[in-house]
Amino acid sequence: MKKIFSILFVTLLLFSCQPDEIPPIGEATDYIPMLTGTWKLNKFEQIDADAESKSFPAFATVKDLTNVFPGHPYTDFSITFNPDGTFTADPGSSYMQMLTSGDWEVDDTEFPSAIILSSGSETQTIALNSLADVILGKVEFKEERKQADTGKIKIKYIYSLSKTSEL
Amino acid sequence: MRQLIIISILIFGTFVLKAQDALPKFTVTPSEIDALTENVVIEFDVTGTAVEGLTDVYIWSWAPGLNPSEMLLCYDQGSPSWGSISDNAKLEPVAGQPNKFRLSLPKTVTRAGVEVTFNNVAELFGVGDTPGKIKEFGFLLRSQDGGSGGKQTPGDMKTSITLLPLEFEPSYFRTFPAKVSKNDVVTAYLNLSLIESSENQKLSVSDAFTATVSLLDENGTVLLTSEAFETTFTSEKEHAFSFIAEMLGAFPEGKSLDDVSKCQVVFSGKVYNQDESFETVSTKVFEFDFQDYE
Repeated sequence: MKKIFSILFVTLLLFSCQPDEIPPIGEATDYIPMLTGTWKLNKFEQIDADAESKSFPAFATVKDLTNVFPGHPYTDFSITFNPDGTFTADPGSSYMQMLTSGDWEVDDTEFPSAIILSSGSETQTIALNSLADVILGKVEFKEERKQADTGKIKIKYIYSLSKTSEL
Repeated sequence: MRQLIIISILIFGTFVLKAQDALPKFTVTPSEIDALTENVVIEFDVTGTAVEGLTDVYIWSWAPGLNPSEMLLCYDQGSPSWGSISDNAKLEPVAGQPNKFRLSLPKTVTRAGVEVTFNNVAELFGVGDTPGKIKEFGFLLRSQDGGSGGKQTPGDMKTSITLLPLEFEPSYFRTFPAKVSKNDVVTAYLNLSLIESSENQKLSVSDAFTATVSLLDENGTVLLTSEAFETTFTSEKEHAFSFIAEMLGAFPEGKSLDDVSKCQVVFSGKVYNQDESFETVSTKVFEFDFQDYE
């Protein structure tokens, strides 16, 4: 009797050690419909990459440029990504430099890291800093200035936008 | 006689043990360095240490807090391994002084088949882009053999080099970012608590500060000068204003932003008299070069 219990116990242990089945992975996220719509800029920051690397205090590392030019707030800027692949951008009174209309696409539909704007022969690539909250209607664009001879990043600009309307 | 032999062995053993524990002497040139200091020379004197007499002396070095913490000279690729130190870690012998060895920067080596030049301590530890992460590094000197027959000086940070902190230094005038291109948003700051002795000291009691900006070509010719901008007073007690070169005004005919290579900034304040009249006082001309950023 004792032997049977022992065998049953060992068998139970062995079955307990079977690997769990890996659950099926969901379909790849389609970011295009999430990006489609009108986005308004709500924060514009400039980062001194050298100061950041040296862990300088915040006032010498990051500057909030959102309202730095009186009468020309960057919050005036908005951009609309249409479902048909066209876009329109409105700088308002801000000094934002971006193509104002044309076509848009992402560099990689499955894992987009940049939005490419084009108008005639002109193209502008907007790096995506974060898509983590795109489902919540928030997205961050990133622009980097690199030293011409070394390619080292010297200045970063982070544009935080919120979706104001779906299309 | 037997007692004499025992005493002799004990004395000899003490000397041997002492040599095992002896620390190498070292000098750092320049005497104070930070993680980004270039042209650094560290010279080691191994007299009386466990590695004295070796022709080839290797450095094994590590920086607390980094992962991996070992200096990149110690291994060629993958993970650092005490048992297979890279030839890159071999110190350069000092000619004519058999007990002296040195490590000089810049140092060019081959790692994983690629030629690499280390210009500073941060790059030696693979944190060239985040030099603030390294505060100090320890080292020991050793033979190539890391086994039981190998020799080494004491570890456990018994010999270490502390780096000067990479600190922000307040100044009378600065820009943010510290270096900018002509396409960037520039913020200029004036810190009157650090006013220079050659300046008009009335600036310290001035009010209603404004600033003008001039853009110059590479020959120093002024291409345009802006209107006077109002400044703000920051929480760091600096007068500040921001601008973009392109928004400063119209260039003279035949000139454009492409011709701009330098920038000059002048701050001006008002000193009020008792009869409510005022005098305008200005700072010297602060000049900086625009960088070539893509």
